[in-house]
Amino acid sequence: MNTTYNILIIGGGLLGCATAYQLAKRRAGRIAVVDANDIASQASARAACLLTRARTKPALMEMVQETYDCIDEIESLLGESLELQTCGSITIASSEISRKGVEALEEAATRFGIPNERISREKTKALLPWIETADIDLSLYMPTDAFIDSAVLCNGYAQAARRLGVDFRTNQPVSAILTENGAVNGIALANGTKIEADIVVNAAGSWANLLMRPLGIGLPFTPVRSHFWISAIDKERFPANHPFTVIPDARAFTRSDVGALIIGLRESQCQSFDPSTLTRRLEDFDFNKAAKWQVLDECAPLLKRFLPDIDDLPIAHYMAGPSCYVPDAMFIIGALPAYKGLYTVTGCCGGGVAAGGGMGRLAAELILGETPFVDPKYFDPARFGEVDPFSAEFQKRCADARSNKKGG
Amino acid sequence: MKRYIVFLKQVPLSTHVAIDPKTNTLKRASAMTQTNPDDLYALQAALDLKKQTEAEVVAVSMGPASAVEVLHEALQRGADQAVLLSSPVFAGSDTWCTSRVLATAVRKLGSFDLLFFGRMAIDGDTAQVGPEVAGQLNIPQVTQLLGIERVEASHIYVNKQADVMRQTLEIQLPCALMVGKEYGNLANPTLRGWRWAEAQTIVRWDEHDLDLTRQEVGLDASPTQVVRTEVPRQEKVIQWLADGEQFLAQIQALTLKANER
Repeated sequence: MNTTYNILIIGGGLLGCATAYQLAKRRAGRIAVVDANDIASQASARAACLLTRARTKPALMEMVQETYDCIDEIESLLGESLELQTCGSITIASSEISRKGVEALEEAATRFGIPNERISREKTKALLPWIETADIDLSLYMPTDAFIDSAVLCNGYAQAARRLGVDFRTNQPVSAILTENGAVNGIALANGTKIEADIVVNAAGSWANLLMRPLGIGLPFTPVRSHFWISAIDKERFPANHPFTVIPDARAFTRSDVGALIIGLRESQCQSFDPSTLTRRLEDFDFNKAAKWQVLDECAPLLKRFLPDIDDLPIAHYMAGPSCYVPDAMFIIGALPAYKGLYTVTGCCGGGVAAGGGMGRLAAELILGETPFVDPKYFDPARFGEVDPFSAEFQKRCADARSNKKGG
Repeated sequence: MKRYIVFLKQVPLSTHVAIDPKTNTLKRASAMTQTNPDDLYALQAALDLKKQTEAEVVAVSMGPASAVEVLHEALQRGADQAVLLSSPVFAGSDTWCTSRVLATAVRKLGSFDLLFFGRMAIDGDTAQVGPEVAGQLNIPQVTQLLGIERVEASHIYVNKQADVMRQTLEIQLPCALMVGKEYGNLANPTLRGWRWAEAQTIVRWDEHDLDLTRQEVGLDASPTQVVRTEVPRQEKVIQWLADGEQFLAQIQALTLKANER
């Protein structure tokens, strides 16, 4: 096994693998991705998988478009499909506030060239027969939106990166980022092995701050619980080709998959977690299983206007996972000036599937000194000044970012 | 009205469960938990039969205070009443003492027609408790239930797996049935069911309610004493084969070795 690389990436989730792919594509030298578990086995396997193109912030639309471009490239490179499902999306407004939000989205989409169309209640019903349309003021249909299995996408980045020469070292927990004279010089594994590199990219997601803490660095995010519910299979009612929905007034999204309806909901007060409480594997972490029904109970009255039988809908599965939320709901990408050669790409704010390709691209461009394709100032890790991500006060700020989220 | 009693156990969700170093038993209160999977099939069998007979379904669980969660789930899925058997005196009970507690609770509940147990618990793998309760109550028992054909005033007609055969049996009531996933599909719970369950009161009984003593139940009264536990280890020798020729040679060598035997 090699013990010397040019670039080490800690974390084999969507952001780590996308960064590895973008770096390898740019022939950035000898690169390795190191993960405590298997590739795409943790938070990246618990995502809602939506690839929502339209955003009110132009930089985010560029990043999502980059993900779509990556999918095309990787499919060509590997000669296999990543099974992108272009089902379209419908964003629904039923209040004055959400109407303004949808109109802003419509304007942004049009400006960016994303196909969109206001559709009538009748057409909404035709596209989504299960939905109750009486309370809908405005439906915005975007036929080119898609979803993708997040684990397949993550493995796609990884396979493509591997094809381009990146090493993947899985089930090897990293115990420390090593530094000397104000610069990183590698990492130490829990088994005592040292791996040298002049550049270390911390893409360890929810665990990233645990590695930064000994270096005196606090990245401005914390893990916040995201979750979705999956109904029992009813293939006639929820066929796989239905558009997914974003319903801000219900703090909800829905997506059909394998004949079931996936329902994502945001409670009024989202729950953050102290990173130091995280287990190595999320299957051993307690996200508070009582939330499965408590949050559904809290959100059901809002969703009932659109899904009237939510109280009696058989629920087959519940999935909770950590999303890395930042107080301004923007990503964290760039250099950490405290140590030469130390970078991070994290703080996905629930957008790792949609924007991961772009986040990896920006990280790669910043590492290699290329002209960034989006303005990096919005994603600067230092934009909040010094923060303590282990403090309850800061964690609440991050949780509030999810509580106040409006889009998909 | 007929009465069916279903026994459910709270078991660890993960395979990573701490062992109490003093008693060598599982530290149940420390683990993320779930309802024992086979017990949900037992509950489903009772609920399916309830639809035909309008019986009352009583869910019973023995365990720490957190075991109330499995009873909430049983109520959400359709049980009518729930009873938690919980006391430090019960802690550390082996299958014999557990079955004594459960059988005593059944007697206290009064009349019943059917007892439903999961085939076995995933944290113990003994499959002993259901049959032992039937033994203590001196009632017939059916293991490896496949399905229930019908129930009459004094008999039930069931199908069970008997090695490679399928048996149809006529059994006198009351009796005990052990159910596993072979029974069929589970109905999925609903939010309405959860709301109803949240509004119910769960009955709690301890050793005083059941008139049991430390000499009869718990760790010290258990004939089974766990001396030591260890994870079985299997040493594997892995050899990477570089190409098809090596693979072929390996297959030929293994075939030769097998033929020599």
